[in-house]
Amino acid sequence: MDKYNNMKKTFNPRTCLTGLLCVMCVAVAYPVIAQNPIAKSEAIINSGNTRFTVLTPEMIRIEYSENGNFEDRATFTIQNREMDVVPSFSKTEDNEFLYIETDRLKLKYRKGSNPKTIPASPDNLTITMSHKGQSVLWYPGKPDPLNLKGTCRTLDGSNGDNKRSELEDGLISRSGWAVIDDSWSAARPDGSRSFALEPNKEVGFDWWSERKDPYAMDLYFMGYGSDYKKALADFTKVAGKIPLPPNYVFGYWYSRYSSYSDDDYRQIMADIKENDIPIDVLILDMDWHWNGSAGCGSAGRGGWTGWSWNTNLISDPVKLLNDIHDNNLRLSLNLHPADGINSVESPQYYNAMKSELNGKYDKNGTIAWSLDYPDFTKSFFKNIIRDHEAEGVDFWWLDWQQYLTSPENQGLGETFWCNHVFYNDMKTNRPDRRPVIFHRWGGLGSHRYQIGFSGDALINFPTLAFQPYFTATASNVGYTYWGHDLGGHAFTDEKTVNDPELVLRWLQYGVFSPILRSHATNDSRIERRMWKFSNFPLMRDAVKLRYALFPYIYTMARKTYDTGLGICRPLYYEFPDDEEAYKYEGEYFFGDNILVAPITEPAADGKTSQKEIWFPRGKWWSVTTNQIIEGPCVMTMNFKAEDIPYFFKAGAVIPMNPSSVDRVTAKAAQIVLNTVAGSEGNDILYEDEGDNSDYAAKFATTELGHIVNGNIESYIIEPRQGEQSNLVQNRSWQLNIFNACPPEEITINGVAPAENEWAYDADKHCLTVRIPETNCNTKLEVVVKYNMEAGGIAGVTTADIKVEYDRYSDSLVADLGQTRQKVNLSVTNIAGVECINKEYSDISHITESLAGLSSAMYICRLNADKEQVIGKICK
Amino acid sequence: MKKTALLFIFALTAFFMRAGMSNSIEYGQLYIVGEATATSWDLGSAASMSKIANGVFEWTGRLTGGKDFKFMNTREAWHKHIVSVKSDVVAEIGKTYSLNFFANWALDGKYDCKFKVAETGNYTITVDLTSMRMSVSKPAETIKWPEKFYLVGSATDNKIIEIPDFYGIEHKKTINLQPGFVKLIDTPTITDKTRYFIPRFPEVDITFGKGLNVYLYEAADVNANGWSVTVPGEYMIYLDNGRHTFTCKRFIQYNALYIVGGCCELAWNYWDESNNRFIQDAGNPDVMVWEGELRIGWAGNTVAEPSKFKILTAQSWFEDTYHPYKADMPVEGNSDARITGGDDLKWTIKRDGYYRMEFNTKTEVLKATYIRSSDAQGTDGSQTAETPDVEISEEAGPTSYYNLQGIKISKPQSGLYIVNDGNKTKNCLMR
Repeated sequence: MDKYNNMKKTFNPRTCLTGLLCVMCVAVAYPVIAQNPIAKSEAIINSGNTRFTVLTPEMIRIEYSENGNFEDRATFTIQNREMDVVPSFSKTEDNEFLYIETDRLKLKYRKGSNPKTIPASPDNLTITMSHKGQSVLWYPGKPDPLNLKGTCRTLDGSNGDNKRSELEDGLISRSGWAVIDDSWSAARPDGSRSFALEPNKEVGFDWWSERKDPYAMDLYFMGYGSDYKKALADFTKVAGKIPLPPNYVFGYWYSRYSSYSDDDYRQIMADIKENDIPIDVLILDMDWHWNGSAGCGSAGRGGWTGWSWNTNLISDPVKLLNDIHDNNLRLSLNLHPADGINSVESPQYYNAMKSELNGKYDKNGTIAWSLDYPDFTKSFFKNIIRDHEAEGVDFWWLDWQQYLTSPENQGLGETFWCNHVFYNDMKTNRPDRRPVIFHRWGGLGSHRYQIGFSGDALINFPTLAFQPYFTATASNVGYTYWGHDLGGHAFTDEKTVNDPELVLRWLQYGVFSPILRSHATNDSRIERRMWKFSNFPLMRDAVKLRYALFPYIYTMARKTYDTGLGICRPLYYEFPDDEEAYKYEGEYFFGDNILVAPITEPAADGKTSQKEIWFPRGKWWSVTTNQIIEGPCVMTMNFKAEDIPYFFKAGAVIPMNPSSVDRVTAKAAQIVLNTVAGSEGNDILYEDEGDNSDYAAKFATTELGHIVNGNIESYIIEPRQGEQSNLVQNRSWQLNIFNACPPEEITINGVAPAENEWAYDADKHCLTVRIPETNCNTKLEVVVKYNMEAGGIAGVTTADIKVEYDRYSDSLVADLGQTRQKVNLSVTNIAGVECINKEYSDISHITESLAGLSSAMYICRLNADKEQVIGKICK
Repeated sequence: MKKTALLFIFALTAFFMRAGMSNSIEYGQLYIVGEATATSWDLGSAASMSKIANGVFEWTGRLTGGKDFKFMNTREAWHKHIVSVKSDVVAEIGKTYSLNFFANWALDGKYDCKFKVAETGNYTITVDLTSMRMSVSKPAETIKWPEKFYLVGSATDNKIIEIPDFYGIEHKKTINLQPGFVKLIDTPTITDKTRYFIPRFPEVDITFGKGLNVYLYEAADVNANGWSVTVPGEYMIYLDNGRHTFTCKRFIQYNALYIVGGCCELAWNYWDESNNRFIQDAGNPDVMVWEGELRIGWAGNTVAEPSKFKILTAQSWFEDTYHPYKADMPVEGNSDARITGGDDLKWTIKRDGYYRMEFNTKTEVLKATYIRSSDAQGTDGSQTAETPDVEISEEAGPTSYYNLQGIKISKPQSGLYIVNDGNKTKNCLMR
């Protein structure tokens, strides 16, 4: 009660609502930034062969070219240097030095010098800034071991955390600064370089070009301190936005490398339907084309690379693709393009391209893969890609696994360039849909070409355990849509190959990962049809949870587009000053409002998994265990096989689908709003047509608010704003209020709901209010007056359970930290014989006499609600 | 023959192209090669340059005046050339030069531009592949390695903290540091004769240098800040007396360690953690505990070093490993452990039986207690551990003793006991 009384003293509904709406307006009114690689002249300071461009108070571009040949075109990394506002800065100089000072940075440059000495030193150029109260010195080339890292090209060969050392530097650091080295000379880890980009009429989009001065230094210093979110937001201002993928990619993907026939694919679709598994995407791996394998009826034709349907497996491709679409699925074909277009594998395509290109690139019956060049690219897309797209291919899975840089153009990265060309081709030539590819990270700038295919990870728990960290960390370079081979790709240990627990835990993690796609290699011993597993119902539940979460996920994906913050985010974005935010790297935020700590280890007893979880400041509703947890604290919690440790941030309003939704592309006629009683907040529900390419401006948002005034709380759904012609016009709502007391009074727009329109679940401390179908332009306000004395609110978990032996009273003493509903105490001696077993209820402290026990050591097992503590006492 | 040679080159090309990095510059290694060097054009034995930062390499050695040298990015083949942008460049001390990279199996002579130095002598060559530039300098004078090291600076609250020597091999200490700066000195108090040691890269974070050889530089300016500390916490500092290098890492508790060796049931198998895994001590997370049986040569085991073991920090040969400072160190009792490399030394057991190992990862001390004989071998039947564990303070209050089966003992005789003094529970060896 004190908490609510205290809030009453400071609560002003009008101020609060106005503030709330202001925040919402700011939240949805993101400007579409024009992309111009030429900076405003007033942002530029020239000093001999050195040029500085002040981009933000925290970001300065530093160029040095011995011949003064500076780059004003876009590059692979950078797209825009014309910021909306030139930040205020001062420029002064004396005989020796030039000084530039922004609100955050002080730059000092020795005039006439190359800013970067060999080896690195502060002799010629320094930037100083304040970070955590300390003065920080930077100079070009200064090493930074505290960089928080980004991502790497692939998880091929991932085993445990062996890929950790391959993570490239990211855009944020605990040092307070990071540097984008966009110099052509600075190779990316795959050896590729950042070329310039120029408009190309032949293909219709930007094409690579040599840099003006390949020896020039081109650095972007980013001194954002601990404001990681601003650093990433500003990065997307200069490097381009993270696009919003089409809605269907957020559904479940069935994928498997196997020599499936058309009948096999139809059987899979039938099985999925029969087993009531929601799904949106079906992948056709490389055996769709001639692969050279006799077992696939492809002997002597094709190989790793192929472009033509293997009609011995898929006799009528168009009919198959139509069937897939008739099942409301989207589909993608796998490509390994490196071996070019072969006259035996694809005579029709080969002849068409050979004729069109006048034999150029043709060597001994193969047109060499030559994506470096516009003429090849134009002919390739026209003759092959367009042909398959006309058959029904929705998007392409690029799977480059060969040489990493071009054999013909030094430093042109094959991965990056495939990403750029395939993505921009789709953007240019398929305007009826939203561009998307499925490929790997090719270095900075790849965030513009979503989504990511992480590759061939091994099937074991330690490899799963690495993926939450890996995926969240990728947001440090904007590459936020990694799609993993959920379940793992290949195995080295037969014990793990079809371990139902491992596959389930991997899928459960996938629910809270960017892309929910199961996959494995072509090995008949590996099963990826979830309906074949003994724990299939739990796997399906996980997939259904993903579908329930879709409105929230899609809203967060839009926020990623608007803010540059990835959907899976390290904890330190929000809590940069808390050491635990760096330590508990297996936890992350899934969007703004859900904390996730996936289970990535097998249960010690085969049933219950223990997980130590750090909860940051604030209150967190444990959806699985139905308890409110107040951070900061560390808790060891127990989870059964069906449990996924995820936690709603108190104050959030989280929109979800009803459980009946089985396609994310379906326009749900009901939205479920989840919130936590006692904490104010606001959010939005984002909607668009799902696959429209003009989503930047064509979308709608619904503001969702939650206001607390003592024991009266208001839940507000504002009229939907924006473009909504192709959206559902009327919908019903279900409001789930967790951690709630029993209600004393409920109104919906001032009218009490019917009895069957609300319910209170005492076990879950959840009040549910159903709002009948209403036009989406109608404002709705649910007001609930709670009966605080009914005692329904769950206790706040703040501390660990402690069990000790008190020698003076000869008793076992347990401090439960809070009132617990159900408690079981079991005391066994060292031989395993149970000496005490007692049940308690509604208790916060236990004193249990041990007078009847002899002096010895005992094991105490204490189950308090869903927490378990095991301790050893010596009597 | 020509066709055979061409086929071979083609196959080699195909191999490297398939290997994935055939055309790419690599920041992992760099070699100096040429007639100006001691190994001339023998690529296979070309001198490896030391990596001093990401993509930055350094080499100090003798160059013959008037003779050519260049750099190769691999020692496996004449493929990845790092050369001057101009021909006939005579490199001079104090100057920097631009470089080109060519991935080419048969580099045209007009691009294959080498460097020379005018006079024979010792030079330090620094190559920064990230900016494709090279500098030439006089070799720095080797610092006289002090006998004693102390850490001081704002990160130690300006306290002077000695970093003690271990066996003449290294100085090391775990130190709590706050945000600020630190440097090394060689005297317990600051005097006019105090020498100051700082890193090559001014104010670089103290943890910089993992996997690199980080050397110390004597500061000309006594006010130089030295290393920076951004993240407060405990740091482990190592100064290698042999290589004269500095290493520092944040102290982080391990979740597991692994015992492997000829005396272990699973021998050198680290991947099966069924009985080789240390777990965290519930009372002290710095301490990792393992209990189990060791034998001098298990039946059926024909592995090398049947009485020896070492401790891994991960299930991999490529991560840090703990070794004793002295070869074949008897394990029973307390022994200091080394994590900083050196020879692949091991601990040894003198008798079969059950042991309890407590490894303090903060102090890097292994405490091994012999518990009892091996059931199968029955070596000596002793039930007595021979290493003192903890002293029980008389002031601690009433003390209770328990044997390893958990039974309370009113009058403990010699042996290992679990002792509760009213405040803490500890292991104790009674003689």
